[in-house]
Amino acid sequence: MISPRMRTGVANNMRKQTMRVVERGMGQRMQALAIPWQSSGFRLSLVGSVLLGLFLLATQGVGAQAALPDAKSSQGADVRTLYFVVFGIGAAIFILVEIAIWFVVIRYRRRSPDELPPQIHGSVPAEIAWTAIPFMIMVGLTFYSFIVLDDVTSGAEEGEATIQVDVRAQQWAWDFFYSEPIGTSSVSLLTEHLDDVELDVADVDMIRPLLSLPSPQRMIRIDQEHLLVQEINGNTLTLQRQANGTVSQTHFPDAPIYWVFSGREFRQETRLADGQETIGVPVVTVPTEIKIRFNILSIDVLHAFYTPQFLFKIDAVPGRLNTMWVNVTEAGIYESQCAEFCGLNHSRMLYTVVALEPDDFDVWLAETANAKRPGEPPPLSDDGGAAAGEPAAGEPNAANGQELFFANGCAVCHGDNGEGGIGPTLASTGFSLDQVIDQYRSPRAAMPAFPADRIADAEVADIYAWLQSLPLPDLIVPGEGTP
Amino acid sequence: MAAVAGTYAGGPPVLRAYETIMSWVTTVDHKRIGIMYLVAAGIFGLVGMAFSLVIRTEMAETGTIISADAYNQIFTMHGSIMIFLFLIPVAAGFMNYAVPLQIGALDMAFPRLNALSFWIFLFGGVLMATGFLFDGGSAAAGWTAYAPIASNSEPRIPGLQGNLDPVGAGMDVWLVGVILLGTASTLGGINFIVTILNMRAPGMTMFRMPMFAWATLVTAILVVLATPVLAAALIMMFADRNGAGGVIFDPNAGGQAILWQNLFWFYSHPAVYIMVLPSMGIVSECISVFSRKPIFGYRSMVIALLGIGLLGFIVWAHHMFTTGGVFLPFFMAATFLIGVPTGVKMFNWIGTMYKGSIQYSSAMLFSIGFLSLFLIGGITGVFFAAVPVDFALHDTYFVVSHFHYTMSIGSTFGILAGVYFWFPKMFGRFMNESLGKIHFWTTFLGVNIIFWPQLMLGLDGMPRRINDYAANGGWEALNMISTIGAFISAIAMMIFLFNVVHSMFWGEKTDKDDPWEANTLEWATSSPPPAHNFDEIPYVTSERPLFDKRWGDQLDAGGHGGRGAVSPDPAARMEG
Repeated sequence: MISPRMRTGVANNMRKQTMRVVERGMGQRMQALAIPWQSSGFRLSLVGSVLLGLFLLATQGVGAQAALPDAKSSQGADVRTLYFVVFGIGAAIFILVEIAIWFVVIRYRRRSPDELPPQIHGSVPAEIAWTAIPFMIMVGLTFYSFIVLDDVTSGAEEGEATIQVDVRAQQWAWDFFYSEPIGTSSVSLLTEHLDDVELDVADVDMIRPLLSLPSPQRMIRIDQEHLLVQEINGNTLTLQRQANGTVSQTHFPDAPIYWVFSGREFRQETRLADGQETIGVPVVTVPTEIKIRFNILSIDVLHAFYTPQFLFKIDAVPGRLNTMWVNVTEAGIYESQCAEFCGLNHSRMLYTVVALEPDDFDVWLAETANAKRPGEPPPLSDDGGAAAGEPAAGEPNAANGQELFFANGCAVCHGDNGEGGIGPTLASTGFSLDQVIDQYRSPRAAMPAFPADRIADAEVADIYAWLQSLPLPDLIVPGEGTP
Repeated sequence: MAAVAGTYAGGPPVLRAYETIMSWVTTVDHKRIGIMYLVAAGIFGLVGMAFSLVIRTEMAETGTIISADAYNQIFTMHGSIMIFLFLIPVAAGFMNYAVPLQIGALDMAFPRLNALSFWIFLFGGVLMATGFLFDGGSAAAGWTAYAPIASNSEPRIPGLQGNLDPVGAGMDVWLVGVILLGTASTLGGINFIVTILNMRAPGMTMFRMPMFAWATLVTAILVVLATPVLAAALIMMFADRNGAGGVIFDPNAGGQAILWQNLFWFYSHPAVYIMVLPSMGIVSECISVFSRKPIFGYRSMVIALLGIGLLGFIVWAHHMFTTGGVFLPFFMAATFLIGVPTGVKMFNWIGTMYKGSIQYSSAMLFSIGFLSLFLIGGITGVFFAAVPVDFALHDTYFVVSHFHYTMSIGSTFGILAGVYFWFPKMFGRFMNESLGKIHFWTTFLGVNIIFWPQLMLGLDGMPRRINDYAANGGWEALNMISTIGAFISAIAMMIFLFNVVHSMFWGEKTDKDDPWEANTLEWATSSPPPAHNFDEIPYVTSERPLFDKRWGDQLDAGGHGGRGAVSPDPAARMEG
């Protein structure tokens, strides 16, 4: 089992005592060592290298690519250019170093068991060269990266039209909010607590129509903070800070006030369908050609807002407002997903970016805003009610489901309309019926188990059907009753 | 030399010299502790590898085989085991075994502390693994245990938003386990620093130390400086989960989520070098020995080691570029800069082989393999230093592939080189070289088949830590290839295991103390060495005392000698 070279190596050690004898006796083996292609190790290495080379080529054949995807945003295009610069330098270094390795490995094979190579301890010029040259490359890359970094993170210029989209991540869903100005008003801060803010607003009439909306939709934005309108007393506005995840900020005296509304929509997609069922994927609709500022928040754990075609991602961090600027350059549908591990259903936390031409986007935005504007009945059934998959066969009875939902105490934790509370939101849930049944039988978090003899699968299907008929709540408001 | 070998000459059977199990349990001999580290870490490593096969099987195709919960537990424990229970302790095993011998010491400075380190490590490791026995399973928040997902022990109280998917008691066990492992590391680190600074053979100045001893010293300094920060962070998270209610790391209770990342990476980035520097040391030894040449640029190698160690402390936030909570320009520049000392080492290794007389033993093959893998790992790392590119590639499979090329597979290649290299020293028998070559090529092909496709998956935007992916995303073929590579590598590992066990008992005996014609003092005593290591501690006049002794006459006569060979007759001095 021992190779010829091993025996040579062992025999080598005898040379110290009987060098000349060993040298004579080794003639044959030295011959084998001197001709590389006759050694089994060389042949093995040749086969191995060829296999590896073929493999690397083969990966190109199955759709693999050596570049980032085509950028659909101007920032992404800058990132992609930088990527190619790094790739070019990296590839050049890789090829040069590999050539050097292969050269010394083949050229300086041991040809005689007792040869003593020149004992080179180093070379100061060489060592300075291969310290200084990489250093200069790295300094150059640092400066270039810094320029690109500045480009891709810089906001809008003075007077440039922008749109803001507020992204709120939670386990395991995305909410997207849009806002429209309801005027600039002289705002001055009266009090500020952890939960509440009192503001003095000069023109309070522009806020007043909001009071006719259901409470979760009475939301305004000042600077980057979402606030719920609680009451209006004279000029004093009492506002409730939004669920954790928003960030308290100092409010400027002349801050514009925006009315905030949800852009919640779902698409039927088959991504990650677990075989059969389709799932509802939240959609964020954005315009092209206008600079978009995404304000990214999380209300529970870390997530990351990542659209591969933008070549950009930023984490959604609870307690922190992160922003990301995107200039979408091409209308289209861009499938995206959470990139930061966020627990059980991390891989199912998908979203889709729908980029529309500016005109189309204006129409979409007006329709969405109109549907929720003060003075009109809040939209219910047309707002995402058709999300998520079809209930199982057997004509589930939604009315029966509603009774069961209350009879079994589900409403205590999940809210009278499935809007959530102690337990998660269930209205128009993105979970499949099978997953819901699974949750009944062996719940993960603090929910009690419901074995099949207590609630049959068909009964769960009824409840599921009722839950699917419910509108998604626009907001989950802690401590708030149902609208 | 025969006199030095003493009563152990001829290589006794492994088990005869070490009579009973109790003698292993109670031993304070650094060599036996080193072997115990290697065996324990090796077993943990096999468990970690088994988990990686589960991961790759799950990811081979769309759809799921195991539940998301089980998947999360398994990838978490794969990472935790490989880092805390394989890479760090297996390096500790070689350091324990080889460093006192290399510097001509009789044992570690604190032999009992050394034994304590090992037993704390073993207990901590087993404790971490018991997480699977708890309700809710083991830790499932990734080896990085990011807050607040890992710091929540229960769903948030009514009225507050919060984690719907808290991690159970397995997470607490994980935290305590890692605290214990960190304690073991720190104690070991102190021990190595004291040993190396105080117990070197006469004549062995700092700049005559073997490169592996240097790597050990720098690693130990990193361990001692960084690990207490991790321990503090772990204790805080444990408090958050058990009574403090999240006031430290959970923003929903007033804490700071990114604080955890700062503390965690302040340890875990240096930890990357804690894992890879020992392998670099082993590779330096092997390349020098099997090329019959001194390390090219010994001093610049040492400075590069120190530079990596120093820079390793100021680049931690490059793991956090996308959190929005990092001062990007500084960490970007520092991260680019760390490529320089790494490059210096790479060129010096090639310089060492240049004009050498290279013998392709298995140890040398794995060392050269290390160079190639680490080269890929290092170059892919530059992409992350460029922050805008990191925005695109962070948390994708590109990251997974990058760090496996460097600190996982790269380090493992160094470790495997160490096994082949020091096996004759440990057991007085060779490993089978033919099997070794088959092992090398199978592994080298296997790991590239695993990780090369993952680079492309990452470029295409596939996030890490997902348990399922879209059927229409074009990721299936590459994932399947990657999975096939994992099984090829596993088969290679079986060949290696067979070789180890077979060679331990039936391998060809080494009839000499120094079968590789090596450079350093561990080969100046018998194989395996006596309990007291040396019958006589040699006087050291260069970083390659044995080389000088072996070739002294030719160096003097032929004029080949360089700066290291200064002694007129080192051989005579050693025979003393």
